[in-house]
Amino acid sequence: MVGLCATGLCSLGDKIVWMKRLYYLIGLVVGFVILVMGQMPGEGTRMVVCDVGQGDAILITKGNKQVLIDGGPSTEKILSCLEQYVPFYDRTIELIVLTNTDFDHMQGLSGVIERYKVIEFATSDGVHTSDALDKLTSQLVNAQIKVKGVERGDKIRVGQVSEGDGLEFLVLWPPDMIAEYSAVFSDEIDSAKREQILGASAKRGNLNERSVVLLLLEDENIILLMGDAGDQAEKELLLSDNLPDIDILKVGHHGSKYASTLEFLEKTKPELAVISVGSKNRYGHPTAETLGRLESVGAKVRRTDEEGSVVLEW
Amino acid sequence: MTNSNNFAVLTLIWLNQMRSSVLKIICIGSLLLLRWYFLPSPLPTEWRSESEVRYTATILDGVEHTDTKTTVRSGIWDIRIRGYTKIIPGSRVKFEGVVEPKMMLGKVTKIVMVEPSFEVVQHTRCVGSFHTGCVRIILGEWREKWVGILQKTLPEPMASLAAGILLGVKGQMPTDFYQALVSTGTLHIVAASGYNVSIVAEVLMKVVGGVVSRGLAIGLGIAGIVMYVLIAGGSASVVRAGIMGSLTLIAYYFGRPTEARRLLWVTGGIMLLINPLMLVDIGFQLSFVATAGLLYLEPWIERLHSGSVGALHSGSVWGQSGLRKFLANYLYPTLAASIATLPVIWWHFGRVSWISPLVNIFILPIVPLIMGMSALALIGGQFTAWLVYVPLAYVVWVIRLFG
Repeated sequence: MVGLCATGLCSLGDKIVWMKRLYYLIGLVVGFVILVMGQMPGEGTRMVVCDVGQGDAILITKGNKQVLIDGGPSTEKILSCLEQYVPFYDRTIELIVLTNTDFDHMQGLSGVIERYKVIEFATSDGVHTSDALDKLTSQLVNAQIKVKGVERGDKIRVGQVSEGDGLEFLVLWPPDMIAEYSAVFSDEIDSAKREQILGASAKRGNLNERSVVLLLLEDENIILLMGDAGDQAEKELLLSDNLPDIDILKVGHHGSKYASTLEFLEKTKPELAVISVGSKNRYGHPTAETLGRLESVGAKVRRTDEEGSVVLEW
Repeated sequence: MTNSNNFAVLTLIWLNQMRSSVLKIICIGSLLLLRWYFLPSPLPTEWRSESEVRYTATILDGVEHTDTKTTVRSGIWDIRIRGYTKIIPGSRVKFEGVVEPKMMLGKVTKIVMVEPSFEVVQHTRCVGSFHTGCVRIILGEWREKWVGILQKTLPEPMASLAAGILLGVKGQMPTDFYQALVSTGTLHIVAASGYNVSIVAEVLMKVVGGVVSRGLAIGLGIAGIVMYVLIAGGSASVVRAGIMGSLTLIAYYFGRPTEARRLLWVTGGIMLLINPLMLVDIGFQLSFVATAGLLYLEPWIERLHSGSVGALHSGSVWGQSGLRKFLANYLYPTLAASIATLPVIWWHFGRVSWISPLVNIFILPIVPLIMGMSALALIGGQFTAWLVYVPLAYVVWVIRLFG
């Protein structure tokens, strides 16, 4: 019909209908181009500490590469953050790092995996049994995403870092990973073995201290992402002597008094400390003690409960 | 067909023979009262608030998952299980727990069972042994698959908006956007209703109309409507629209002029006689009064407006067909439906949206485009989804702006 109309071999009525459809199509294409231009990312790096309430979800983007560290406690909130800060035409998340399997870090990730193509998924061995873990495992298996276990010294690269078009993370914690524990994220083991691993893992005490700690190495900024790691992990990190002077700290465990010790802060000297925390949470986070310690080292504090998502760009 | 369905249809045929309208109203009113009075209670007679109740049902629709709970809906039962639970449609499940019934006019209209113990007693497969529930299960799977395609290709809340406009699905819609739809009086765009049904019937009739006989075309049209109603989840509004649409097609087959006003009352009567609990369903109330508004109020508003404006501006812009067409297509129906639904919304929500007609004028012309393109996105893949994102982003922007 289009061909006939183009050659003038159709009735006036048909012509009007096809012209109308053509206008719609032109309108859509023009609108599409405008929206693409408006959402196209710049060349710099952007770090968004998403406002997900009491939990952690940090989106780091560089060019068309996206990395998500944790997914927060709510699918709805993390998807809303992604809608705001990831271009609509980009349905791929290059890397997800799950720092620990607490509900407030993990729950939102199932929805992300269900809706986005995820290239790589990394976590460590701080696993404990929960409905949220079952749901996430089922999504990872459905999407055929292989989970990579990480430990101190590992480097996770996304994109071409040497050409300035990528991101590189250095894993600082945990020091050693029990490889078989990350098998609970797959269907490679039977349910009895899975129960056995989860039971053994739960007996290891405070699993927050097995949280993945990452250092983001950027030319202009060094960013330390603490997950839920607390004073025990910090003590060990201080002993390991590979803590640099940093620019931005994603404060550990939502500003708990058992994280961000004075020795740790004096060593890392953050200029900016970002706390991902829900307003009026039942844990009293961030505590006055932690806020006092951050103030004493001269760190400027920004909080998601006060200003919503915290966006940093460089 | 069940006994109540037969009873409803026979009653309506009998009523149709009556000549006096007053007599018809008295008869149908009495029948509804009797039907309501003899409605059996789903709870045991010795039920107390602390008693544990056992309920066994074959789950035909997919269960809903939120971050913290799994909800199973079956008739008037609303069963909420903590955490993530997978229940495959077709499973026969036995639930046992404490219930909170909701009563109205002496009858149980909804039963909420919170955190019951449950056990899958049987799983009915549709492959090999086909049964009546299979159609609903298979169509439910299609719905889930289609919603999944939209969710994979579009960000939120655009994916939910597209799924709502196309299929009336709003289970996973972000809360803040849902609230914005409520506060701008635009929630109806995500409820499958008369508009969707008319498109389905029209497309089907156009496709098969020239190929098969009129009777067969109408049969296929009705089959298409029934399929769409089931895919859209069988909510009160889409069932109402489905029955009205099917009756219109049947009337067309017999060469009788369709009288929409009469059809609305017949449809309402059929639905209430089959399931009297529809009377307290907000979806049924809104759908019924909105359609009544379009049928009774709209012509009156149009006459009133054309009379006053026509007298003031004869021969000016008003006389131009474009503006007249725009008003007839969008302003009059919006005003008529808004005015008609106002008391129901006020009754249920305690507030009404005064900006609703304005917001509707901005978005309604775009809704058909979204519906058509969302359907195309199901087969057209990512590129079509990118294109449909454009009108979706516009609608989201308008709703956020006013909401």
